[in-house]
Amino acid sequence: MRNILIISILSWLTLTSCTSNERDKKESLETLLKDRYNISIQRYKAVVLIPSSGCNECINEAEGLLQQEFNKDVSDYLFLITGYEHSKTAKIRLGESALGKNYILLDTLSHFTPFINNGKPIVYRIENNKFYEARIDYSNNIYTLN
Amino acid sequence: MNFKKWLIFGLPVLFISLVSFLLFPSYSYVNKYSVKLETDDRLEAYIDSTIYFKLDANSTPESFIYYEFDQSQKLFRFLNISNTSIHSYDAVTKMQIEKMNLMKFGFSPNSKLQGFHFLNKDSLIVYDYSNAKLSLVSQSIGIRWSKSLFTLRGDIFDKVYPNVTQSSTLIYNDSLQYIYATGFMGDEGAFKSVDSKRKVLVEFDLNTKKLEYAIPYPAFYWGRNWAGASGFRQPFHTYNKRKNHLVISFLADHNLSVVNLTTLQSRNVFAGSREFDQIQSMEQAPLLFDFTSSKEKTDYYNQSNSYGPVVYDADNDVYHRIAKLANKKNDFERRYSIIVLDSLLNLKSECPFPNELVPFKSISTLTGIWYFNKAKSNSGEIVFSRVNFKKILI
Repeated sequence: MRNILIISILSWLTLTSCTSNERDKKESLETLLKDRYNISIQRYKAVVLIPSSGCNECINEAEGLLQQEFNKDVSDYLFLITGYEHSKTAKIRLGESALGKNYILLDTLSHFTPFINNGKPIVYRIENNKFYEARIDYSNNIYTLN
Repeated sequence: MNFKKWLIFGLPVLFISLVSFLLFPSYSYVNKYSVKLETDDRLEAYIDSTIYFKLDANSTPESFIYYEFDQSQKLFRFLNISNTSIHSYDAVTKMQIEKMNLMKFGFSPNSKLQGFHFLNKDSLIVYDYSNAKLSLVSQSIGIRWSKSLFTLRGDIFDKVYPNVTQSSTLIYNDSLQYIYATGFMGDEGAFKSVDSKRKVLVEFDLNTKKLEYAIPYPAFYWGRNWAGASGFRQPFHTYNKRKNHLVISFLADHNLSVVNLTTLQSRNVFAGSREFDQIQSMEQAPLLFDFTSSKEKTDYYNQSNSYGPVVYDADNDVYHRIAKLANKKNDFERRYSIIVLDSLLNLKSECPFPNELVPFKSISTLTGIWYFNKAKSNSGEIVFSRVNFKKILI
C-alpha cells in the first residue's frame, strides 16, 4: 500500500511538473527582462520570441506580426529577436527601422535562446499577470493572437 | 486516505505509472571502447595563417551559411541566405568579384537553401532542404531540372532526407557524375527492427536521376534514444577524391566508417578520443513514441562527450576528427579536441582545438583546411584560419 502511494505521489508530481515549468519559464523571462533590459513585462499584452533560424514558415508568421507593428511608436507586443550574432544580420532581414523601436529587443548574446524549442517562435499572452501560450493567426491580411 | 478517494484519484495514476514502466524502461546504452591508445606524437595545434574576406552591405558571417572552394575557377564561393545569392571571391586577392542572385532562377527567401556545388563555370547544383529538392541551374538558361532526393514511395524508413551543412557537404564525383549527401529520416521513436533499416547516405546519378540509399547506422544505435536531430543522429562526412572514399563520423561512434563509393560497402576504422572512452544514449526508450522534448535532447547532447566533423586535408594527406567534450554546466562554452589521423586513418595524435575557431565550419582548399575564425570575424569581415601542428618537447 505504501509503495502504491509513493508511485502515485511521484506520478502526480510528474503530471504537475509541466505547470511548474511554465511558471518557472515566466519567472525567468520576467527576471531576465527586468535585470538585463530594465523592462517591466506588465506594460505589454504579449511577448513574442522570434529565433533567427528554425521553422521558416513559423518565423515568417511571427515576423509578419512584427512588420505589422512597425509603424507604431508604442506597441502592446514586446518582440524579442534572438539567435543573431550580429545586429547587421537582423537589420538586413527585418529592416533598419525595426531595430530602433523600444518594443523590439535584439538579443545578440542569446540570453533568450534557451526559451526556444524546435526552432519555433514562442508567443505568450499576458493577462492578469499570468502567461498563456498563444498562436498567431493570419486572416484578412491581419495578424492577430489567438 | 479514504479508500474510495484513492480508487478515484490514485488508481488512474498508478495505472499510468505501470504502463509507463512497462513501455519505457531504461534503455540507456553505453558505447565504450577498450582499445589501448597508442599515438606517436604529442602535438600542439596552432594557427599558422589567416585569411580575410570583406563583406558587403548584404552579408554577415552568419548569413554565409555554406561555402566551398571552387578548384577549377580558383574562387571561394559563399551562399548568402540574407539575399538568396552566391558571392564569389578571388582566391588570390580575396576580393568579391561576382554575386549570383538565385532569386532570378525561382528560388525565394522562403526556400530553405542549404548547399550548392559548381559543376563548371556555367552550371551548378543547388539543394533546398524544404522539399529535399536538388536543382541543376544553368546561369545562361535557368533551372534545367529539379528532383527530390527523398521519395514517399515504399518504406520511408530506409530512405534518407539529406541535411546539407558545412560538416556534411554535397559531394560530387565528376567521373561518374554522381552526387552524394548524408542525412536521416525521422528523429527517434523506432523499434530496433525499423531502426536497423535506417540509412544515412544518398547517391544520386545526375544523368539517369536514379536514387540509391545506403549505409545504416552502427548497430548500437538501433532501438536506442540518441537524442535525435538535436543530438547524435546527424552524421558528418568528408571526401577523399583520390580514393573515392567517403569517411563518415557518427557522433556516438568511436570508429570512423570508410565507405567505398564504387561499391557502397563500408568498413570501420578505430578513431577514438583520448579524452573519453564511453558515450551513453538517453535513458528514455524510443519504443512507440518519443516523449523527450527537443530541449531535453539538446541539453543531454551538450552535457555528453561526442564526436564532431571529420575533414580530409588533401594538401597534407591527413584527416582531422573533432571530439566535442562534455559541458556539464550546459552553458554556451564549448571545448573540442582535434584527432589527427594519417592517410591510412591510423591515429597520430590528439590535442586541444584552438578555441577561437569553429570546428563545424571549415573549407578545404589546395592549401589545407581553413576553419571559421569566430574571434576575428565581425559584421564587416569573414575570417578563416589554418591549423598546423608542432611537436611538444617533453
